Amino acid sequence: MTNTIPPTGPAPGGLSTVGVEHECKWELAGDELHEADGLDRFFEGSVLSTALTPLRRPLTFVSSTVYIDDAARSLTRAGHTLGVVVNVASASHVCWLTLKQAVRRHAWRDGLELAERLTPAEVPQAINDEARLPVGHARRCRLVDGPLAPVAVATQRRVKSLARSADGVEVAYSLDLVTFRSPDAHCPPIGTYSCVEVEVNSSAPHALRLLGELADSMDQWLGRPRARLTKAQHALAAVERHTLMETAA
Amino acid sequence: MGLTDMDHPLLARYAEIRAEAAEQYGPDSQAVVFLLYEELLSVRAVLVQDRSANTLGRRVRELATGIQQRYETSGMVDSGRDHWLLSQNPVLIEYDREVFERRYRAALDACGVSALHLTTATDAFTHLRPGCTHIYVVDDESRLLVWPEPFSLAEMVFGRAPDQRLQGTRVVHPMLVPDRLRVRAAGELVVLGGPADCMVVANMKSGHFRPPPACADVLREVLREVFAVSDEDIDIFTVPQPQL
Repeated sequence: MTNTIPPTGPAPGGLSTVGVEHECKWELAGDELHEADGLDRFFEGSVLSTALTPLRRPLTFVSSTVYIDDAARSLTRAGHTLGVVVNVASASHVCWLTLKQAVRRHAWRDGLELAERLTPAEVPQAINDEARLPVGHARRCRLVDGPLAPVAVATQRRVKSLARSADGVEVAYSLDLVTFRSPDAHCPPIGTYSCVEVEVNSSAPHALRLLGELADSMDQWLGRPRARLTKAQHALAAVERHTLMETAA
Repeated sequence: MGLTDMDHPLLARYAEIRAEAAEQYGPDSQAVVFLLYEELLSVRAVLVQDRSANTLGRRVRELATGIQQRYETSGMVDSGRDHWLLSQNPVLIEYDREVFERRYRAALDACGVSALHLTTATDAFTHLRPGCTHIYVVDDESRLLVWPEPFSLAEMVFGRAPDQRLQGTRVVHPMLVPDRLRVRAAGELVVLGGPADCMVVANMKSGHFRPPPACADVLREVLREVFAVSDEDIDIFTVPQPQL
């Protein structure tokens, strides 16, 4: 039986973090985004720009996530996400192994977020190393069964903004443009996805109240319901479609 | 009429490999960034032998712009915990003495290697391996200090790994300034050409000091003096600063 006792002491040689996130998401159609129009101005006119004070200018980041799961894809199907975030260029020496455990899904997603810093060379071993906080937690909670392996890849261009409400709640919101690939070698892009995300990392009642108000307003502004699926679920669906087509061909 | 980019065999070959990498891993992948950096080094290595090659000169400028754009969007991991800015103008950054002694002192003492103080291009080409990446700092006395052992190709693609020569401890920038742990710039550099005519490609990748973009001015001045080069022979890539 898997040991359910939490680990003690620091992660072996690594930097790890534990946090919460409360997140809403809206899916966008590809033709709604026009890079030439300036993606960093996408939110102009929305409640995010009119009701909050920006803490800095929007920044664009590029990173890839290799999604990890067991043979039954237990994590992804349940709405959790285990992945390795791989950076490029000036941050190429740093990867993050992350577990986003969905704790509750209602008007938004309440999640626990565990992350551990890795070097790229450590990634292949780390994804099945229970001493790594995200993997160990997934095992102890019995979210996965059996060996873990890469199941999908997403490369994301994120235009991220940070802002603060009048009563001091920090809100992060972003525009994400994602391309999916299979983890197999020589795989061209097999799908794209775009979304808006709004999140707070505080569980204080006034922070959650603010998130609810912002999300209601964004529902109106974007004119669509909130998205339910995670990026990992979209990525896995793209890989499964691709595999089916390959098999049929 | 001069060669176009696609006519030049070196540029054409890099374009071909880069297209394959972009197809396989994506246009924003580290594979593509790495190839752009390698192309810059290759092109400069040829250009320093033949400065009349206008096609290559133009390509250097394109590559420099493209690489810096990718550095700008690669994100910053975090602000770091063990260093602090002592001065903004000129920049002076200090690493934590207690952390250094605990993590790196024993490894530094055991390895029997120390940073070289380079004062001339002849010094550099005597002690460094042209075309290979070395880590450097500009210390608080504006001296250029470089670790003599270059890093491997794999380390340049996947980041600097634990160094077996140092019993599993990576060579890190504070090990170049163990006495005062203070720098005005830090990162990686590559020298190309020879002592009589050379070029330098450098960046500000130091996870221990997180040099701000202003450090590029400090480094450029030091490189001009040590290598007797003009600004057009120097590329310096800055790293985005930690944001909220």
